[in-house]
Amino acid sequence: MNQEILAIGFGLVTASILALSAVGFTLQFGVTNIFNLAFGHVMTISAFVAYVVNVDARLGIGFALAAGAATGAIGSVLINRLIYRPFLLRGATLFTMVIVTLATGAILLNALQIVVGTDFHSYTIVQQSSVHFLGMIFTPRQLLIIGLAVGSMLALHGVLRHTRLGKAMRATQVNAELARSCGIATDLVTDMAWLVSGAFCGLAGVALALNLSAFSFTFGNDFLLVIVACAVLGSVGHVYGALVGAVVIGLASEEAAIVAPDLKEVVAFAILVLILLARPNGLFSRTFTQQMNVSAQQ
Amino acid sequence: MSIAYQTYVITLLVYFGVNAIAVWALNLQYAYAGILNFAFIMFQAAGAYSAAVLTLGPSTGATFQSYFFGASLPFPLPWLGAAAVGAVLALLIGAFAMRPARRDFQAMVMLVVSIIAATLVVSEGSWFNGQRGLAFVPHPFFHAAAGNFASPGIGYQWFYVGLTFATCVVVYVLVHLITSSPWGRRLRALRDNPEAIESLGVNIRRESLKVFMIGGAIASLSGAILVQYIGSWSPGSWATPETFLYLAAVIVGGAGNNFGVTIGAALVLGVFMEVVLYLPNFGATGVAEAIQFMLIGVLILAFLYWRPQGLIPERRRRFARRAADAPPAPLVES
Repeated sequence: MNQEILAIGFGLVTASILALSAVGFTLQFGVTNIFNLAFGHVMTISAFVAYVVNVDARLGIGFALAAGAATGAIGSVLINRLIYRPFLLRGATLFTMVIVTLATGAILLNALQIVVGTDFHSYTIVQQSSVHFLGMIFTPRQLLIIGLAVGSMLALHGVLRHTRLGKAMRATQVNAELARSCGIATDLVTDMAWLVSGAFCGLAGVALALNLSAFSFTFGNDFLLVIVACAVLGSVGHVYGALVGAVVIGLASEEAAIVAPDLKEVVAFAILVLILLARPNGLFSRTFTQQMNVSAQQ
Repeated sequence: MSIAYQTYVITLLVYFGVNAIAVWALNLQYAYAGILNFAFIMFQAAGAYSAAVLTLGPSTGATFQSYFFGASLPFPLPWLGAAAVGAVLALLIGAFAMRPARRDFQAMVMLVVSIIAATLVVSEGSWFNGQRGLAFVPHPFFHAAAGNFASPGIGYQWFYVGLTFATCVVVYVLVHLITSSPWGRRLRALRDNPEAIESLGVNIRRESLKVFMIGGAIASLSGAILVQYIGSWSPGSWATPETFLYLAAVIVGGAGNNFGVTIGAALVLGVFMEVVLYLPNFGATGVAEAIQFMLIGVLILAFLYWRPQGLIPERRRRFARRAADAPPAPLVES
């Protein structure tokens, strides 16, 4: 059996998880301009809530996914409302906000450690036979992850392109002040951005935990830098760019894993470093260059 | 005082000196150049590893630890070598980490670099003995009998405290000279209004890179001092949360004020981290530490929210009013 083709299969799964998380990360960044270092911890917390639903309450994995998405969404909105927004209202700079998100992440991580401990957990899933497709092998849970990612991406595309909310989000992203003066309730749009990106974050957390055989309280944050690599590759704030970044890094890292499993992350980081050297603002920065310059001043 | 008690006090004092030097370096980068150095602890580690391989002697391969290079240089060469390594490392990393315009992107690149570095040091055992790390690093001016790694007596340990504090004085004077010089003024201008200072012809990236290198050198020096006291250094000594602690010390003490961050280091890294040892054991293993780190997070948030200037704020600079007939002073030194 051809290893490269097998790896493409694994790559598609990794890319799906990366797409869910990187799109969530980048969407929230685009609207709020906050580099949210607590993102990975919210993923982990969502996965643990899903674990409670799946293992302790003995509900199916569908319920677990829904619970994870809800936790991510509500958690993100709460974090923004209770912590980030008060700082922004006090005039905190984006520079300060990075430290605020870092400190928030540290609080979440250690609180989670106190609650769940350092043990490894795994979901209970009925074992089913794997599916062979064009030389790739997928377990049913991997197919679920890919389907989830494709479905969510299509739904997000629909929202962004064909609803008033999507239009308002895109307007806020390009120029928040102009959007506000045009009568867009940017506070509401910001909340919605946190809600939607939080839902993606939660789904990604459960998806990642599903794909790992076992997970502990640090797994989301361990994954954060790969997510950031995808987002930066596709220009942070650019939703479709993040999607491209996820596919590129997902496939590249799994192909690299054929050579040595340790190379997985190294490849993602190497891509991140190369892109920052060649195009500091990412592949799709043309329309975003101006926005980057504006935010750099803050 | 009993010997055990003295040793405890000595350890605290050496750590305090090392931490003070480290927070001055971080303060220089954070408060004077606006660089959010998430790879800070890596520079301290670079200094510790450099000082270790410069004193341990050639790696024979026959001993229990293997490392790259290896020399046994006399004091103060290992410390100076460590500082030089820190500066070069900062140059290499700053050259690409500072390419993105946004500070938070730069911080992200540094975080990635720090994690890659830790991964490499663990996986490449021939560099610095991998996960087990280096041990039996010689103490300066201390010659144990051959093959005998006896720990030095209490007198020597007090001498080391003196050596550390003397270095503190040198570094403090150096940092003070930098921050109160015209160049330091330019750096503050750069931090407060980068567009204005750029319009005056200052190359922001180059100036930031200089500060990054000086900070890197000082951070490495702190690592060198620490490793020659404790005698060992492993990947566990420089996990990412350590950077978070130093950042907390700077924010609590007062970013931009060297005296303030020294107090911050004493309070956060000394009193706050030490006090848990005096509490009775509670909870499962690691719970006390988790609460500690949670509280550090809360402390950072509380300070950034209610007192962003820290306990001892940055000094307001006063400049003499120039006489009416004097020619206007140049805004930027050439």
